[in-house]
Amino acid sequence: MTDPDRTRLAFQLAGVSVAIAARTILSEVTLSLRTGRILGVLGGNGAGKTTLMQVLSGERSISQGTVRVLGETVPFHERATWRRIGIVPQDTALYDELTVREQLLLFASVYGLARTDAALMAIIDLLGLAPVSSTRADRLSGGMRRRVVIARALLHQPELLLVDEPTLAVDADTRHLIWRHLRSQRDQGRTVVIATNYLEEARAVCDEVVVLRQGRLQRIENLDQLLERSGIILAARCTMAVREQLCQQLRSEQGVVRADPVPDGLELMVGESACADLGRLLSSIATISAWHRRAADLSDLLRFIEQAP
Amino acid sequence: MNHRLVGRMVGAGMLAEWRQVLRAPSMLILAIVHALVLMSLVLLFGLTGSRAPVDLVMEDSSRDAQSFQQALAACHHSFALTICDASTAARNLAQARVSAVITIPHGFSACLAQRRPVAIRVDIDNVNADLSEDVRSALPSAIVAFGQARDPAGLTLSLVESDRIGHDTGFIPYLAVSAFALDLLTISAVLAAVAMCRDREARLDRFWERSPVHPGVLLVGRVLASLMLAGLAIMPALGLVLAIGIHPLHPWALAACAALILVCGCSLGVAVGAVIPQSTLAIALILGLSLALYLASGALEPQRFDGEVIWYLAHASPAYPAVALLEATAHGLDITPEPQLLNALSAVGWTLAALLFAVWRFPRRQS
Repeated sequence: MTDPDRTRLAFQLAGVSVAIAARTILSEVTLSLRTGRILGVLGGNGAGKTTLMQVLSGERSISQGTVRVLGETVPFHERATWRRIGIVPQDTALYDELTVREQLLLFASVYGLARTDAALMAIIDLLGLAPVSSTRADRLSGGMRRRVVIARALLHQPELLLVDEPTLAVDADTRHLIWRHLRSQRDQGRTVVIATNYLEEARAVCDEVVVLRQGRLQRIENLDQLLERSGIILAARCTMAVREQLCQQLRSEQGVVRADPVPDGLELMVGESACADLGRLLSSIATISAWHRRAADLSDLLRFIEQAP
Repeated sequence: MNHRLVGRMVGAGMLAEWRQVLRAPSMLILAIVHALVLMSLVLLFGLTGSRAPVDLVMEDSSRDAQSFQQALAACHHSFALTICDASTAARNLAQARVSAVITIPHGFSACLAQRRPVAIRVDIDNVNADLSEDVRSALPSAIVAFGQARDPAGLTLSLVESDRIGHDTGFIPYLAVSAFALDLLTISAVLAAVAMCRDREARLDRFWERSPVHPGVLLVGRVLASLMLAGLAIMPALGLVLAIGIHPLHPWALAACAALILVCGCSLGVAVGAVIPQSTLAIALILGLSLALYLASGALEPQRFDGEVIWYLAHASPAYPAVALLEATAHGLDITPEPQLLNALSAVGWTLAALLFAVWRFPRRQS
């Protein structure tokens, strides 16, 4: 089933929709990715990121459209195609009673790797698992478990790596180690697709970014530019009694992209250039007890995209 | 599919299952304890049902009285006789420690010599009609045996016995072997069902589904390991059987039949695991059904003794051929009208049917 003309594309989705029990999870998604790139799929909870990953892995059947992965039509006709794909699921499911090394040997058996295979040893070293290789999975930290799950997906050196929330609930050191490793995969010519909630992750790792909102996909040409356009967030603390009125008042100020009430006050999305003036303004309003600035997060970005013309 | 890869995966599955069971041995311990408890319960039933505890008060210590005591001890549904004085016997009866007190009266021997009637007093705790009937029916046969031994010419009616089998088999050894058959089935079924549920419970079934080799290959390894573990787990129950003093008539045939029953139980566990993805539910089902299927299998006596309808129903239990095979090889008993070859084929049939069912059902459990 290999099509030589399309092998330079890691995957192609054309008009793909997925509906589960009359609910549309993905709606007419069209997307392709060249090999050797890292694609970030951004989206909030329930946006359809995991479903998209499942479509790419051939696990989820589609309602309409076509899917080709590594030149093969999905669903795959031969199980051997999974030899070319590595999957890092959201959860860190492992066999609790087995040590790290025993797990990886078990998983390696399905790819025909031997106990002494260099690839197996290299993965253990690369992900910093050597010190815990004799530790049972039920005694590992969350970060270590995630490393083992990533190692499992890399054992067979797949051409396409599908990673769902790679740094969910891990510490900063592990996060940077995982990012470094994902980038090294790309540098070795492999293709990586990352589903993530974190803007920081997409900026740090991904070559291309798409956003999923309620099953619909939007390509982001330049994430940094978009973040620059979406601006800075000014979070002000005030009482519930005055926040609506203040929001109303601040929306008319120059440079304010949006002003919304939040549980303990209000938030302004403002352009970088107007940030200083608006800060002074907030300081002068007596009903605002305190304010601070922060970088826009994913939910800010999604709202910006939604409101953008 | 690459045969070497399949072989490696089967081996890896076996090793993983072996390690996982031994490192979290609660299921293994449960299976062993269940086997021992089941056998103990069955044996306890046999002990209480066949030997009524009875105190014997010997007010006459003559040779005749001792002969009568021996006749009592030897009769069918023999009494578990304890000789004691009258007050101890009365206290034991009042405290429900014995089911009856038999008293051989003063002048027992003298009355017999003078051919005068002798009244043997029996005090019965008739709280349990079953044991009371045992005492009531055993006493006359003891009297007849005693009379025939003392004065053969005086009794013209005698018994000519012709046995179908060349030897008698004790009730306890009979029960122990049949309980062992059930133990083989349940231990192997429990461990195989646990193996079938393991990947699903670890939430790794999705990983194996998306692997280059069919997940069934790994399961074959896991089930083979559970079969080996079942072989080890049955050892304490086997020890109990041997401790009772059972010496199998055909030990090698018994070993072969036990292996066949283990395989049969394993395949039944695979079938249960193919339907039910949670090991705790699967085990509850196996243990819950085991006693019902056992009792309706001829485990307590040849099933045909209970009537044709129950005998027909008994064929719905895999314990039916299992008990028959073990009773034949251990005690040389044919407890079914079917020949042993047919019973062996029946066990093979159960095995194949369970495996075919699992192959059909397993993909549906996964989806």
